[in-house]
Order: sequence, then C-alpha cells, then structure tokens
Amino acid sequence: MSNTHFTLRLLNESIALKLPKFALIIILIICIMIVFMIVWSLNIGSFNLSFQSVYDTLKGTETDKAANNVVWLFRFPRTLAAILVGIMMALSGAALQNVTRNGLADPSLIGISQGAALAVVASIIVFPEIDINLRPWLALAGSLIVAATIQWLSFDDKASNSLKLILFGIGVSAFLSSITTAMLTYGDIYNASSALAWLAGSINATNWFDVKLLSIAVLILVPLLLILSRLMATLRLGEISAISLGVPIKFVKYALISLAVALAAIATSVVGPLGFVGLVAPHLARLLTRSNVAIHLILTALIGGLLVLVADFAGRALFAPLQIPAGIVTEIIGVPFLIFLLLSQRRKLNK
Amino acid sequence: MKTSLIKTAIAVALTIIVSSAHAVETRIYSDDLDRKVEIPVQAQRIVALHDVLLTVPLIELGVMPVGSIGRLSKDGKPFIRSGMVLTGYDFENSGIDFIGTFDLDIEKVAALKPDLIIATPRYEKTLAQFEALAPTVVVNYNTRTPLEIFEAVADITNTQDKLAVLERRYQSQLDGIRRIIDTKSIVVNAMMPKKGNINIRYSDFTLGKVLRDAGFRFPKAVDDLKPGGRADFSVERLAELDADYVFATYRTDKKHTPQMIVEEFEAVLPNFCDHLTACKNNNLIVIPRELSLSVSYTALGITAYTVLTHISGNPFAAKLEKK
Repeated sequence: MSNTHFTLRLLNESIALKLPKFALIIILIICIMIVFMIVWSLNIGSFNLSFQSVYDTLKGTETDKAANNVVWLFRFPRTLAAILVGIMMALSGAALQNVTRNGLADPSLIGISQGAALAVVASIIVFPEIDINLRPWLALAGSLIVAATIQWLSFDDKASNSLKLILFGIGVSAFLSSITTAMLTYGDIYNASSALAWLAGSINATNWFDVKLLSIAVLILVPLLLILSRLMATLRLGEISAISLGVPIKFVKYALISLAVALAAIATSVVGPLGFVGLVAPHLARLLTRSNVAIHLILTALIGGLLVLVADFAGRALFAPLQIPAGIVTEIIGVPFLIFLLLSQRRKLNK
Repeated sequence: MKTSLIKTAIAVALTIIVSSAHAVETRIYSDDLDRKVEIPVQAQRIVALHDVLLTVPLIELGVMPVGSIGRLSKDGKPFIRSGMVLTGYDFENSGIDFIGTFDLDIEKVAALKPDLIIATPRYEKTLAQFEALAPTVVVNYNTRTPLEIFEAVADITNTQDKLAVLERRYQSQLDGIRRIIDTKSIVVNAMMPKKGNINIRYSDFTLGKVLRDAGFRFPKAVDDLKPGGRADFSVERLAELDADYVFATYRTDKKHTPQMIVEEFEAVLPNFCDHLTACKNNNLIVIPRELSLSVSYTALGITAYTVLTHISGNPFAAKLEKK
C-alpha cells in the first residue's frame, strides 16, 4: 500500500484494484452529504412533521395517515428520484464529453432533451386527448429517434466524427426547438402552460413507479458504462493512440453514445429536461480530484445525484409554498458554471 | 339491573345520534375524465387547483375554498387572479390559503386537510397523490367552455340553486341590452394585438359570450371560426375584421393601462386607427381583461353594462339602427 493509493484485492487477488486514497475520501464525503441531504429532505416541508414522526413513519409505527402520505407518497419517492435522475444525467454528460472529447458536451447537445420536449409538447398541445400515461414513453421515443438521427447523420463509413456529431446535434436541436416554440406560442393557453411546466424539469410529480423505472435503468446502464471505463481511458489519449492499442474505436463510440442517450432519455422521460447536470457534474468531479476513468465516473454520478437532490430540495423548501422546478435551479447553478468554464478555458488558451 | 340496561340503551342511542351527525353524506360524481368519485354532498374544505377557472366561481357560488392556487405580483405577493375585482376576496381577506402557483406545494394541500380537491387536466399525472389526501375531481378546460366550467363547479358543490339565480340575473341584463339596442343591426368584434398579428376569439369567455348572447353580429371571418375557436390574423386582413364597434382588453393584474394596448396596436400596424371604421368613429372600446377573460357571472354583468353604456345613447349607434 503506497501513501497515495490503496489496493483492493478481491477473490484471492484475481481482482486487484489500485484506488487513489484522496478520491476515495472525496467519494466518502459526498456519500455522507447525500445521506445528510436525504435525512434533511425527508424531514423538511410545508407539512410539519417532527423528526420522531418521520422516523416512526419510516419504521411503519406511525398511525397518522397524513404523515404516512407525506413521507411515503411525496417526500421519499421524490428524494430518491432526484438522486437517480442526477446520477443518470451526470453520467450521460460524462460519457458524451469522453466520446466527443469536448468538455462542453451534455445531453441536450445530441437532441435528447429537444426530442423529448417536441414529443411531449406535441402530445399536450396538438393531441391533448392522448393518455397522459403515455407521456414518458413519447418522451423516450422522441429522444431516441432524434439521438439516432443525429448519430446516423454524423457517422460515415470511414470513421466517426465528433465534430460532425456536435454540429448536427446543434442544428437538429435548434430545428426541433423552433417547432416546440411555435407550438407553445400558438397552442391553447392552458395546454401551453401545462407543457411549459413539463419543460421546466420538475421532480414533484414523481412516484414509486418512476423510482422503480429509474432504479432499473441505473442498475443496468451504470455497470455497462463502468465496464467501458477502461476503453474510455484509452479514448482520452486520442483516436490514433487508441487504435494502436487495439481499441475498436467505432464500437466503443457507438456504445458510449448509446448509453449516454439511454441514460438521459429515460431520465428526461420521467422528469422533463434537466439542464446543465450533465455538463457540470463531470467537471466538478475533475476539479475535485484527478483519477482514473472508473473513479471519475463514480464521483460524477454521486455529484450529479447530490446536485439534483439539493436543487429539488431548494426548489421545494426555500420559498414554500412557491415551488421552483429542479430544472430551473440546476440552470441557475449551471449557467454561471458554464461561464466560469469558458473563461477558464480562454485563460488557458491565452497562456 | 334495569337501571344499567336503561343507561346502556341511552349510551347506544347517543352514540348513534352523535356518529350519524358526524358521518359525511356522500354521492358519486362522474368527472370530466370519466372517473366515478365519491365526494361529500356538502364539501366543507375544498382546495381549488385553478384561481380564475375554479376559485372565482366557487366564491361566486358562496363556497369559500380553504386553499387555492394563485399568481405572484411583481413584488412577490400572491394573489387570486380576478379575485379582488370580481369577488372582493383575495388571500389576505378570505381565509383562503395560498398553496403555490401552478407548480403547487402538495404538502401545503395536505396540511389544509381538504375534504374535496377540484383539479384541472394539468394535474392528471399527480391525481393519485391528490386522491391520497381527499376525493379529487377533474374539471376539463379543454372540453368545457368557461360557463360550462361554472356549471360543473356548481354541480360538484351542490350549489345549482345559486347558479340558477346568477343565470336569471344575467338573462335580465341581456334583456336590458336588447331593449335599448337593436343588436342585430350592429357588427362588433373583439381583438387583441399578438406578436405582430391580430388575435381573434369566437365567443369564449365573458366579452365574446355577452356580445353573442345579446345578439350582436360579428364579421364573417370571426363567424367562420368554430365556437370556442381562436385565430391569429395577419394585419393585412384587418379589413376583414372591421366592425362598427371594436373591443380590446388590457391586463390590470400587471398594472397595464388602455394606452399600452393602443401602443401595441400601433406596433403591429402604425396608424392602425385609420384602417378601422370603429376606431375612426371613436368606437374602439378598451376594457380590463379581468372582465373579459373570466369565468364569472359578476364579470358577465359588468361586461353587459359596459356594452350597454358604450353603445346605447351613442349617436353613431342610433344612426346604424335607423339604416
């Protein structure tokens, strides 16, 4: 064991992982912060509940129906959904930044948010009679179709082209956004207002079914991403180096983009577009500690979860009964961060 | 033994009387999403999930909700849109609790311990959460005209008698207009400047309803819209929208003024007044939007009298009637 790293040996040393101590400490601190936030989130709200009452409700010994409703139907699923959505959006951003080698990449870049938005806004404004339960599936379908179209447009026979992906992403996203805006402008005012509420990215309507769906997605997609982390590390060296190391570049890129799309599309389908988490979380993870890709992904996921949890809690409790959708709070945090990022990059280039 | 039996009988009788007094009488209501909901016959603690469409009608029907959605003024103060103007009530003087804007605080709703929640289709996804708190019925603004929303609210709250009184009053106000003005001989229109175009509605909400119910004529382009419909017309088609009297509205809740609407018309078409007969004859009538876009019998009454006083006694109207 060195001073800076800790070696984890499993299965009679058939698996041995060298883990940076500082990164592990950071992960532990963020885990503690998440647990603290969960406890806080379960205890604070417009409905006054004592800590003891919340504890009894969780244990199942609280008899008050209202307390049970508030904890089990409102606060708990919302808290868990916020964490899960944050993890998914953050990892989606990390995968995209890796595959495009562009620090400004995030899920909205490849049309995920815009595809979901167009499908849902169209269903609310043009076809209001459509069953509301189909909305997440429409969002998912919209995201996947648009993301697949952008991938198809940007990939050619020779090799993948990250710059083309970004340019097609920006173009198609802008086109879809203009259609969405037209529907919001000319659609029925009440339906347009419902659509705007969805577009603001709100976690307040999440229920246990959503939590189940998000959990399954996280349990399937996150391990797949972690499995690809070693190949992601070689991509960091550049395509030529990766090819010379025997990495199947095209497969890795397809796989990473598909995972990024699936993560963001499922999260968006449940809570609506949640801006900037995919951009901010990977950078914050990098700012906190330099580490290998797997550790960076874990750190990114935790920061994403914490970020959305804090955003949702702040939006719910700070100005209650006014409710500020988590998507707006993450944008309030994200925009200054984006400006900071661009300025620091410009400073680096000037040097 | 006999005494204890009598005591027991009295206790049982008292228990039955007390419990029957507390038992809430319910009925089945079929809401606009075709859901059969068991609701109290006389709900005592209603939470309304729309201010203009639900809270104002409730107050006019004499039912004070315990909680309502509201809007925020520029200085961050919550208010019931149209509440003060049409009913005299707002959050500060009514005992109605503010439960948030359209992104409402569901815990605040829970804290109010409602016995009935009246929702709109906007909350379809969260109906299960509301239903855990109280019976929840949905009034669909996509399928009902504003006055049909009023009827639904009266039905839900079992206040049809009060609605009948309000309707009778409105009909007598219309009779007043028809007695003084030969409405069939006058063409009217209501229009709004909107993003470079002219926005027209067929008849929904108060102003259009009063004008149509009173028997005024509308330009053909407006009649061609289906009832409840609306459309944006290019200013190039302004001539098709011309009328003897043109109504426009301004927002009082945002402290707008009639002059601001005139400026908006000017922005859409400089010297717009030169292109409208009504305007040239000084018959462009600008009224507060709270009156024209409400679900309110008070607004219908005020609008009816506004129409009556602006058009009757006007020499231009008299000239038209002679034609």
